[in-house]
Amino acid sequence: MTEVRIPIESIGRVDLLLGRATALSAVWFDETAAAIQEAMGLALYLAAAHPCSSPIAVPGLEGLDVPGCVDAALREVQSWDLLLAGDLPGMGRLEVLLSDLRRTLASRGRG
Amino acid sequence: MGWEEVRRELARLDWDVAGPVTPDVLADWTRVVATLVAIRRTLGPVSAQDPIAVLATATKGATGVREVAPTTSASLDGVATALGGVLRGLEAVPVVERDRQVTALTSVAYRVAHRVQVAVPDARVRAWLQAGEMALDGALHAPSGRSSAAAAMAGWTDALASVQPIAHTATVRRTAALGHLTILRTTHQLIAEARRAGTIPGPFCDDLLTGVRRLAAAHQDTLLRHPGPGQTASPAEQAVMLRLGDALRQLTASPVRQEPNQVRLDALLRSGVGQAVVVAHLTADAHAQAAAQGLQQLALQYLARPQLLTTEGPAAEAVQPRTIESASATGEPEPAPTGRAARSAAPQGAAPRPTIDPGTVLDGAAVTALCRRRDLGVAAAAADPADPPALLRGIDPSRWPALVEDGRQAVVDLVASVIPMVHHRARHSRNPDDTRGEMFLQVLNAAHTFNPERTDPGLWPRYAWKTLEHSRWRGVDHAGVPRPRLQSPPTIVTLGERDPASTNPDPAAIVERRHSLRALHDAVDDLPPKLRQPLLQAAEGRSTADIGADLGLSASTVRRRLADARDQLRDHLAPLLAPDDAAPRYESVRPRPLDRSQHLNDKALAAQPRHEQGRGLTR
Repeated sequence: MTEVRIPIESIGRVDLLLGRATALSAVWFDETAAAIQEAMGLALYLAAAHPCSSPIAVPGLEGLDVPGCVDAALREVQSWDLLLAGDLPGMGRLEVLLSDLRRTLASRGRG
Repeated sequence: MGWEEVRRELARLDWDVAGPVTPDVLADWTRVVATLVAIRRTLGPVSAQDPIAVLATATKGATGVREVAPTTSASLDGVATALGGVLRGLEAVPVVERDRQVTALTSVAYRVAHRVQVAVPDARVRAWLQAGEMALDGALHAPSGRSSAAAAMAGWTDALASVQPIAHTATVRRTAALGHLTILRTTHQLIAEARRAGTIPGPFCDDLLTGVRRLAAAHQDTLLRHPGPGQTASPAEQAVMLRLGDALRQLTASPVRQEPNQVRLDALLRSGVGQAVVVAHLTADAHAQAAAQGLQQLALQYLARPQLLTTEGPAAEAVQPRTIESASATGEPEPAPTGRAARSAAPQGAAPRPTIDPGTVLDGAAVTALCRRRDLGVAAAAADPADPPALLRGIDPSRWPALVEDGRQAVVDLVASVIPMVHHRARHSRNPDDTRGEMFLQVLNAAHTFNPERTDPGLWPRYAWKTLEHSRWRGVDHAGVPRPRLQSPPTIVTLGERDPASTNPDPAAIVERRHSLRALHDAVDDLPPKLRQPLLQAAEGRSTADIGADLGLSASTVRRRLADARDQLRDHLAPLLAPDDAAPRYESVRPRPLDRSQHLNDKALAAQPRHEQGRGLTR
C-alpha cells in the first residue's frame, strides 16, 4: 500500500493559525465568524486526533491578522496529499471553508 | 503522481489571480464531471446512489436549465487535464487502494463542485449544483442523525466534566475558550433571529445578547494573552480536545434535518449557554466569570419561565423578566458571585404555591419523597458543578436550578400539610397574627430539619407539633433557638445613641440563625448515641426520671450524660465563636452565634411579662 504520511506538524500549525483567527474574530458574530469557527473546530479535532510529539510554532503568528491567518492556513491545507482525505475527516470541508473565507475577506478588505 | 498534479491545479484556482479564465464555467464543469465519472467507473461498480453518480445527474440537471447566461470564471481545464492523468495512472493502482482513491476522488469533486456552485449566479442552476455538492458532502463527512443542539450540548457538558482532572492546563483553557466561542456565536445568531421573529421579549433578548458579547470579549482577551499551549498535549489533554471538538462538530455540522431555531435556542439556554460558568472557571478570567454569571442568571430566568420563548411571536409582554443589572458601565468585573449564588438567587417570580390542600395527611412514603426533593434542592443550591456532592452525581448540572425550585416546592408542601395546626394554636393567643407568623417560621424550620431517616416519616406532623410545643414551653424564639432558664435576670444592654434593633429579625439574621441551627443540629448528630438519645428526649421536655425509665438508666446517670452531651456540643461548636463577641454571657452550652439572636429576642421581651422561674415542664 502506498504510504502517505500524515502531516502532523502542518496540522498543528493550522490549529494555531485558526485558533488565532477565531480569537481575533471572537466578537464579529456574523457568517464570517461562523465559518472561521467551523474551520477551527475541524482543525482542532484533527490536531487532537494527530498530536505532534514536539511543540509547534508558527513564526510571526502574533503579527497575523485574520486574512493572514486564513491565507497561511489554506496554504498549509493545500499542501496535504489528496489521498489523505480518508484519514483526515473534514479535510475537504476545511479546505472549502478556508477558500471561501479567503475570497470573502479579500472582497471585504476586512482585517 | 496524478493526484499531486490535481492538488497543484486546485491550489492554483485559489492563488493564481492571473490564471486562465473560461467564458462558460458550466461547460468546463461538465468536462470535469465526465472525467470524474470515468475515474469512478475504473475504480469499481457505480450504483445510482454513489455520490459521483448523483453529481453527474445534478450536473445534467444544471446544464438543462434554459435561458442561462454563461458565467465567466477561472478555467477548470487544468483540473480536468490533471484528472485525466489520474485516470491513466489508475491501472497501476492495487485493488486494496481503491477505497482510498475513491475517497480522494470524492474529496476533489466536492471542492470543485463547491467552487462552481459559488461562482454561478443563476439560482436554478445553483440549486442543482448544491444537490450534487450535498451528496458529496454526505459521503465525505457523514452528517450524523444526532445533529440536535441538545445532543451537542450534552456532549459538550460531558466533555467539560472529563476536563476536571486537568482543568488548569493551558491546552484545556485554550480549547474550552475556542469551543465556547462557537457556542456563543451560535446562541447570538439564534437570539437575534428569535428577536426578529418576535418570539422572545426584547429586553430579555438584549440582556442575553449583551451577556454573550461580554463573555465573547473576555474569551478573546484570554486567547490573545495565551495564544497556544507552547508544549505538546498530554494523552489526557488530547482526549479532552477530541471530545470537545466532537461536540463542536455536532453543533456546527450541516444537519440532515434542521431542527427549529427555538428548539436549538432552548437547548442552548437550558445548558446555561454551554455551561458558561464552568468554562469561565476553566479560563480563570475574572471578566469571563462575571459575564458568565450574568448569562447564567438569564438562563435560570428562562428555566423558570420557558414561555419566554414562543414558537410564534410576538412573545407575551406580561412575562417580561426582570432585567439583570449588569455590573457596569466601567466594564470592571463584579465581585463574582459563584454558580451557587446564581442558583440560590434565581429569581422566582411568584413564591411556590402548595400543590396539596392544607392539612392533607401525608403518609410516610410521601413525606420521605418530599424530604428527598428538599435535600436535592438544598444540595443543588450550594453545589459546585466541578465537584458535585454524592447526592447530585449523575444529575446534569443544567437540571440543578430545576431541582432548587422543586426543593422549595417540597418544603412548601410539607408546611401546607400541617398549617392548620398553626392556625389552631394561634387562634387563642393574645396576638394571633404575630403568633401565627412566628409559628409559621417555626414550622418552616421544622420542614427544613425533619429527617425521615432518623424517625418514622409518618411522624412528620408530630415533629411539627412538638416544635411548636417546644417553642411555647421553652420560650424558643422564632429561629427555634431555646431561651435557657437563666439563674440571673438577662443583662439589658443599652444602645446609647443607636437606634434600637427592630423586633423583626432582618433576613441576614434569619439566615444566620438558620446556619447556626444547622451547626447545632450537625453537632447533635455527631454525638455518640448514648449521649444523643437522652439529650433529644430532654429537648422534647421529658424529665430525667422519664428518660431514665425509657433508657433503663438512673436519673443521676441521665443527668451526667446530659452534662457530657452539653460539654461535647460546646467543644464542637467552639470554632463558631467570634473572638470579639461582646454579647452578654448566656448558658455556655449554646453557640455564641446564637447569642445575638437571643439578645434581640430578650430586648423585645423586656417590655413584656417575663417567664417565671419554674413554669413549664420540669427537668
